[in-house]
Amino acid sequence: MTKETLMDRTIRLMFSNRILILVLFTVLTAFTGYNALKLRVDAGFEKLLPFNHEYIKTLVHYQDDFGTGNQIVVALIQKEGTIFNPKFFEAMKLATDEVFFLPGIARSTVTSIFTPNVRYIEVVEDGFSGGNVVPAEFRATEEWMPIVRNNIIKSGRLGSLVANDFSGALIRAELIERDPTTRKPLDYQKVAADLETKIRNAFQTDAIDVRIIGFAKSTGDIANGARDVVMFFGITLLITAILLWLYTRSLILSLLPPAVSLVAVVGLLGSLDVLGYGLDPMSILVPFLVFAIGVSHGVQMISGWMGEVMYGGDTDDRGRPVVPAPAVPHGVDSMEAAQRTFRRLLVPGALAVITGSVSFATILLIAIGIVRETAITASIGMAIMLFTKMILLPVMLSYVRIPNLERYRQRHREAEIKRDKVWRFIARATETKPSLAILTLVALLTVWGIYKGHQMKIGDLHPGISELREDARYNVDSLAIAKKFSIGVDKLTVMVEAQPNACVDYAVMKEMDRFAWYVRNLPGVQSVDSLARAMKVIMAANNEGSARWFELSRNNYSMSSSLYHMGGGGKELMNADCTAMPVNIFTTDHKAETIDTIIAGIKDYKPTLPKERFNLRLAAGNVGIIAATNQTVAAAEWPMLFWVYAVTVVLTLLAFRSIVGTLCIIIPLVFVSLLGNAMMAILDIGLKVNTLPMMALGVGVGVDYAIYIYAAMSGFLKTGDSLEEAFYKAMRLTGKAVIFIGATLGAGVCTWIFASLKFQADMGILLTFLFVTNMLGAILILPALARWLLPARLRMGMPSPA
Amino acid sequence: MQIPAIRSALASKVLLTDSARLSDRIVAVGAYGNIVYSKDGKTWTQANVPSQVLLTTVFFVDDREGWAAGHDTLILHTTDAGENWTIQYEDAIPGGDLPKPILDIYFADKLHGWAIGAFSLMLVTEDGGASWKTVGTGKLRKQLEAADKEPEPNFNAFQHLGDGFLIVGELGTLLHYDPKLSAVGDDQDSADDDAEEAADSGEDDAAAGDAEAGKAAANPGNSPWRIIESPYVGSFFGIRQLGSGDLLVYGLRGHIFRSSDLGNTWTPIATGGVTTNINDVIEMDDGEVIIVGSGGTLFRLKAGSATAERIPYSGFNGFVSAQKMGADSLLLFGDAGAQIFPL
Repeated sequence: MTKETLMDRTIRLMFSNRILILVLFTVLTAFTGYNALKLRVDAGFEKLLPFNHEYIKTLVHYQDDFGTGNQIVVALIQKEGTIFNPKFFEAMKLATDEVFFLPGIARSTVTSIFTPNVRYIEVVEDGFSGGNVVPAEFRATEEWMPIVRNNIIKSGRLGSLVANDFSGALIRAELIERDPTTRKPLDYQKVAADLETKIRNAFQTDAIDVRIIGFAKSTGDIANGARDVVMFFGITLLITAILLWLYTRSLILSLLPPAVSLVAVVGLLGSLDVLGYGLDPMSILVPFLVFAIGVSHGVQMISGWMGEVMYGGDTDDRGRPVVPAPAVPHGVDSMEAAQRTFRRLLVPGALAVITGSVSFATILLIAIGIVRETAITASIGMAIMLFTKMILLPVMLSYVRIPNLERYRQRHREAEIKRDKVWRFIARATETKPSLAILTLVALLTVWGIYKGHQMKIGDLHPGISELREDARYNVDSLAIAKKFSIGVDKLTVMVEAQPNACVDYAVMKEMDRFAWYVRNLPGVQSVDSLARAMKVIMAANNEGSARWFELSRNNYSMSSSLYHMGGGGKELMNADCTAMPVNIFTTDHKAETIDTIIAGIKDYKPTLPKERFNLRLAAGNVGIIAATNQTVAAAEWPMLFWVYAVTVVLTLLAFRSIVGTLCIIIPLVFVSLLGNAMMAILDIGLKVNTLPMMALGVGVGVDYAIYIYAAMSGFLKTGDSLEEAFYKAMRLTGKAVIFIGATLGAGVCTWIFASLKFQADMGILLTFLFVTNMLGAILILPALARWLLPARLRMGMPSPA
Repeated sequence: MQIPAIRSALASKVLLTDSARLSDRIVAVGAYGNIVYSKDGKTWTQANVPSQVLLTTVFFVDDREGWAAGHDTLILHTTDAGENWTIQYEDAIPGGDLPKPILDIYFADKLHGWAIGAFSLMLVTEDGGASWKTVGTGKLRKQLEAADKEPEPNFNAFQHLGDGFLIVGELGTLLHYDPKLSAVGDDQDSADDDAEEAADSGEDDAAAGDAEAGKAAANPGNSPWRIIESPYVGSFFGIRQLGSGDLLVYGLRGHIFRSSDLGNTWTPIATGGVTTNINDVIEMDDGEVIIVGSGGTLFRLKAGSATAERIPYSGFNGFVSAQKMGADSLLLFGDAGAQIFPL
């Protein structure tokens, strides 16, 4: 038997070089640990974009003309009364300057009542005059207040740059992700920190509130919240260790699995830095998952090792371990126990880890930078874990001595006898009636899960940033700004593509205006801005401010004159030769439903002009990005699950060479996935860039439970035990560890409910659910399925020769 | 040529430029071909309109029949109290020259109507709008040129007065038009006018033009137009005759003038130096006049008073048209559509 020889040689090699292995791991851990300390939090705007999506191609195509929408908005809000007091204007002027000089800001895009791109026009007897809203000669004195007030009204920026009730004013600016000269990526944590120190802290007073929103700010806040993860990591570690102590009653054994998993996590973080990656706030949960899966395997390993130390060495006449152990057990030494456990768990353990890491890799299918980073991070983590738990842990176990082995064994044995009826009871899941009951329940829950799962939404379900809690500073700021200003922060841009000089072509502009009005009528649209609207404003102004002239002119001289009068303001609404003119649609929120309705409406619009004269091209703006992301995520959901399962099926088939075994492992996983969808629908968690990977990871986490139990069970089945007997023994050998792990990880993760990040709290609930249901699936559904799938010959077992 | 207005729940919430009161409903017109009607000013129903251009004016000759007009020199007609409209006339660029939106429309009876608009546009019908003819303004142009005024001012609004009209418009334009004074018929006048236009285009010689103009000005008896000395150089947006017979004209930058002698002399009404436009006035039952304008401008003018008193309003949306709504409320139309305003 070649396989045996290979295994033997591996074991010999491994255990004869224990010191070398320990030294190697120590050195590697020290090295990666050192690098892990340097690991930076690395957020990016561009890596959130689904780069293959047509909307994003539009966005990228026009980003030189119109930016990417990576905006920050700083609002100064007067707590009582209006902004018309010298103090406010002093603060506003300084804040505008401060924003202007922040690193990363595209200076030309800074817009506030103090910037020269904000002008007013005023109708006078012989035409109209205009100027800066805050003129150059402005001084922050009482005399100037009424003048500026009038200029603001005349500028038409009330609601967009100044609060509707004059209680605040804001500064908008775009960020440049890459420094144009050094090509260095923008450090968002620095921008976020700058916004806090140089803006919020500098201008927040008893009279003035500072509110800041924008990607840079939200990602900074998420990163800050993500720091909690470390604390929750610690809590989970502690819970695991305590529960392990209760389980093993041995200090060293309760510390080993968490310690070895920690080595894997340190290895992961260090490798990320060495490979030049940072850790994105959005994938901060991945190291934790690696840790969780590591603990799960570690517990299997020590559980097996304990069994060998206490009861090993006894085999029955078929060469199988005796379960339950004989009254006077043999027991083997630590070294022998470690080798035996390694031998027994190598195949299922490696299979579980490889399946897990390949299923993580399938999320590479989603063409979004951040998701790919998550996939890479998770796969690296799993690969590292394969080494720590399959090599480091057994080697370390070979050194462990249990003091007072006799007493320890005695206590353990008594407890086992007490627990024995539990295993017997669970093993009844393989009997006809209980298995039918279980499968009926599963069928009913599956139907419910499919039904409820269909209600799972794609994208954001709430206004604000759903990763943060509703009462988080960012969401509070976001709401306050939305309330005070009528031009919201949620913008969907549709590009009108046309022939050169289309902006003086009445037919094109009228079509644009008609489109804008059509869109304005779609549900979820708050307001629409376009070059056509801006031209109408000028047309009315050119005709003495008369609303009866708020219409496009069929005369192209009038049209070009209105473009001329727009000055710099027109640059946001057309490119240099008027071949691209964005229609900016401000939406009431960025919920997936709202966006879908608007986009469907836009697609229904039928222009009266041929495509080459008037082509509507979706999309840009933050809502355009969200729409593209939602569509990408939705499109990836099924292929991703397909590949996750395909890979799991193939690997399981290879390992067990049994269709029945594969079905017994996969069906509970599918069931849990379905229920997971239903849970997301119930908890109002949308399927998003950061929740979709969790679905794949959920499968990866669940698969090892089933594999461990099935591997043990099939061993007994092959040697002649009946299904019930084999399953009972498997429960005693690996099943109890599975139950322990499911409960322990569930307990650890459910503490996340108290995390400051809403995303983490949501994931805590979801992962708790996944850990526990996967565990239940492995100990209840798997045997019930086996009852009906195994051929009768195997199921009944063969009579003992004795 | 025209594309029908879309059904819109917002039709009464976006720009409305003019309104008309029928005995049991109010009809308002505005942007994107929106025409809406309502009994109570709260719930509005959108009419079927075959166009999406900005409508600027509406007039009803009785409770059923009315006309609305606007850009593209478009005239719409209804015979069911404003619920369904058909196109009666359109001329997107009259004479291939400049677009001339209609800015006011009036019917003396079911057959005789006039529409005026940009660049001294004037249309007339004698068959209820089945056919519209251009009223020639060649003579007027010469008179205006002679008086050193803008020769083709926009006609913004008119008030029927006796057999003719008082017309107000761009750059202080204040005119009396009386078709009966014309020595020649409308058709001929129109033909005459066309001939003049043709001649004008051939004439590059300024002196020749001056001579022509001088001749016309010297011979005003032949012209249906009379230039009234204007109290203001800025534009007027409207004119209204009150129950007392007094006339009010109003326009740019808070300017309002009253005339008690049918337009011969004008006295200013003080508006406290506002710089917003005055767009419409409405006379209440007690003779008090409510004045509405852009940027949330609202004034109250007591009968006979020379000073308008500001009505506080917190918004900045402009008003273009107003109607009475019961004894103590107004229905205001403008940038933000229709809104009830309690006095």
